[in-house]
Amino acid sequence: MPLLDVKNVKKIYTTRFGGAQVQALSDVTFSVERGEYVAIMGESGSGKTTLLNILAALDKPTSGKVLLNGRDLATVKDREAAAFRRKQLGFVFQEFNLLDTFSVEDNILLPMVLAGRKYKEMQAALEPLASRLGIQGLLRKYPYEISGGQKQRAAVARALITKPQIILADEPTGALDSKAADELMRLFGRINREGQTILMVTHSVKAASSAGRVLFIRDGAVYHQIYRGEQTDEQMYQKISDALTVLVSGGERHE
Amino acid sequence: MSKLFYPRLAVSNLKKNFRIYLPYIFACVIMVMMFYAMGAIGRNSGLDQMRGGDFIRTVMQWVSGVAAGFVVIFLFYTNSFLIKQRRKELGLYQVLGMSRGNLGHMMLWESLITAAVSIGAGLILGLAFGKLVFLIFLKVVHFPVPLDFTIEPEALVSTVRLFAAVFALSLAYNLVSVWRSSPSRLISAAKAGEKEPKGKVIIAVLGAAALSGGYYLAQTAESPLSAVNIFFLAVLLVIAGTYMLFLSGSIVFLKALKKNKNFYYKTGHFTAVSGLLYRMKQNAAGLASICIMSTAVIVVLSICVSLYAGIEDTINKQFPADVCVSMADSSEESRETAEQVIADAAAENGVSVEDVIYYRSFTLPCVINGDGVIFGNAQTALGAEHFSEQFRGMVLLPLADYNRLNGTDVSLSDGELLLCAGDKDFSADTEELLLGDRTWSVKERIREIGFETGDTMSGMIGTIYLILPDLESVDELAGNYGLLDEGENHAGWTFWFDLNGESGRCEQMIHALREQMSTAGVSGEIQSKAENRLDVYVQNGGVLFLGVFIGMLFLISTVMIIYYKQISEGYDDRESYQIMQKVGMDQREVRGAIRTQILTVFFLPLAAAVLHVAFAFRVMSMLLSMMYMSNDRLFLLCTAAVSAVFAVFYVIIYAVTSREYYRIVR
Repeated sequence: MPLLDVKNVKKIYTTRFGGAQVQALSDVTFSVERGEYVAIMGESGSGKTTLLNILAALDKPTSGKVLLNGRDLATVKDREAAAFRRKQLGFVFQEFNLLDTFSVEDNILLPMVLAGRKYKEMQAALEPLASRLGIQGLLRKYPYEISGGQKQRAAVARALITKPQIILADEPTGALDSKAADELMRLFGRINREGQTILMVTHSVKAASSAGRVLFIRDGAVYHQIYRGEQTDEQMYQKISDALTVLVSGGERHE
Repeated sequence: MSKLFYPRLAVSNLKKNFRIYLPYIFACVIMVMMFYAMGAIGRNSGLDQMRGGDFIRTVMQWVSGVAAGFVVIFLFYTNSFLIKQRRKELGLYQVLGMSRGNLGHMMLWESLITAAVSIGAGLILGLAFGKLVFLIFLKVVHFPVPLDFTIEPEALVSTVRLFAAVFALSLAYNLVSVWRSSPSRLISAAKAGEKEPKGKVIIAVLGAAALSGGYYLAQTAESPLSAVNIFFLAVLLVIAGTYMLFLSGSIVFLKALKKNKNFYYKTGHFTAVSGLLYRMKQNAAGLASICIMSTAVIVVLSICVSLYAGIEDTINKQFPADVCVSMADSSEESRETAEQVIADAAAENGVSVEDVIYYRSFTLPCVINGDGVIFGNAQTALGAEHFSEQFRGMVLLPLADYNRLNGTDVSLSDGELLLCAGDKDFSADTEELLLGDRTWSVKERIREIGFETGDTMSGMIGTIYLILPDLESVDELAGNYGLLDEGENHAGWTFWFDLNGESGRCEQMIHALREQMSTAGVSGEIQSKAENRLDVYVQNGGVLFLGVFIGMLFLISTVMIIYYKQISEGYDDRESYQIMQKVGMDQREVRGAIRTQILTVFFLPLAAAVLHVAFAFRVMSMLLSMMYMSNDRLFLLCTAAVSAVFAVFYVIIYAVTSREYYRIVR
């Protein structure tokens, strides 16, 4: 059984006034196995964000199903949605979304505090994680005192601390310079090799080339996908670029 | 470009920003209305007919002056908040190609519209409700004849002038603040991270010391006279302490909570503590101001309400009987003439005189000095600080009158006296008393004087009664130490009696008595309880009216400050709460966290204000006793009622503003 199973997901938005309908996702089907590292690529307006919102249980599909670990997300009640997200999912955002009113340490601990865990447990979880990500020196600092790359590493730590089933990353390198972006991708690769399942939405070919598999979305449907197999990052980069050229020039649909 | 371009743009801007402009305009309208009503009442020609009308006029003018200053400061402050909220929008206009001139043109129209609406609506309401307010005022001061409430052009002009000036001043400030900063700075509203506030422990400790010092002073002040000075010192200490504790104490306290890991890392506490830490940094000064203002409102209103509610008490204390006649003469013939005149005046007007008492006495000021008293210019002899504590009124009575009125048969030989004074004034076993430069021996210490003398010196200072062997001793002491004009320093008769009859007839009797006394050649001062009641109603009623007026001004400004604080914080907090929801905080938890913060920020000032009032209670009741109001239970009741009404208003504000806040954050 795959960890994440997305079956024929369709999403139609109706504008508030009048009945103008916008189809954000027409028919998305894919699955993610445990321990996989998947990147989803697509142009602006291709439906990436909608898909991510649905996977995060922030939004519900018009039709189709999303199963996480065999559980249909549609059965997650509104009241437990927050707890569900907290326990099962870890988020990494483009804008980091760290709270300026908390120190880095408190930002990382936030999901555990929300889950009502004991302070001892938090410390026990934080220490090894901080040393794994190399952010021990940052814990006492405040988000406005550290660089973008450091902020994103703190955000990754926050996503990892609850040991989620899957990490959902939304353009994680979008606000980083190229050096920080490379570092973050190396970090993603490493935590993936340590067994963490990652699903990342990105624009960046460079970022996507660190993934084990890349899905291309166009007009609300999965259009193409590439497996890394035994290829290096550079070969992967080339392949993705080729695929995008075809995608943009509007080639035939194939899989 | 159409001529109406700027006015239209201004109107649409005001509409878009109604959430911040509506309360502002609302407050302006109410202030214009109140200001006009107050000015019109103060200028009403009918006041001339009223007993004490001059007093009302003077106080109204004085209060108008204070209110004007307050209005300027408050509206200017509110305006600076408004413009801060609109920085981004104004910056955008500049980026889109508006020159500073264009921008100024637009802002001029906005100000003109706001001013026109506020002043226009305020004056219309002022004219409409002014009459109602005036009728309430006449009712409060027990004025029987309805006076016309006319349009007072002077009041109109002064109101328009004041508020036009406020709006002009605000516009000038807005133009300067927009012109001075570049558009890009206007747009990127300070997104720089905020440093965690540093709480200075030493300031917190100083604040706690100042506050407890103020409280201690308020609890230990001894006499009402010294209470006046101490009260001011205590007020200053409490204000300083409040600001220091809000600014630093709150942060020190929150940081201590944060250090306690097991407490801090709990779902409810985590966001609340860190959120409050930042809120306190931005708002401590504002909250302390709200606290002080609330305290002022409660104190002022409680005193005014008690003075008004205690009027009957006060009058009964001053007037143990309906009429008091005091004469400068102590001869037997004068007494008989006066008695006859009183009886005649009563008979003429069909009222009966009851419970007549009369006695000879002389009253003079003195200062207690150990086992004696000092007369004359005692202030220089002892220094001002002792002066206020030891100052007393002394009433000298001849033994004969004392014996007659009490039905006793005490005898005193030369150089002996009976002493009636407060327990603290002299030690219980005092045997000798130095009066000026002569030592008298105290034959007996008496508890009560035994008949009504009227509380001549108010509750401010105590009274010492001395019963001397004969009239000559009284006259001798009076002649030596009395402070009246030459030739008047001797004992005189005082009559007290009740009148039984219809109140109009009683009034006529008093008038008749006044005339007949002078025609009969016995000069005397006639005071009547009924006339005095009218005076007291005008005074205390006027004070109550003004107290409510000022209280309302304070309340409106408190409301506005709180409202704008909530709104601006809503925008600040919005992002934080959105992030927390993304990280896995559900709606209910967000609401809970917001509620904790709002409740604290809201009710901390109120709780502190109530505490201040509780500690001020003792001194306040002393100050009230100086105004003949010494019914502590009534005062307690009034204070509790005023605090309760204030709290209700406060809760309503809370409900309204927190709803706006949720709407923004969500």
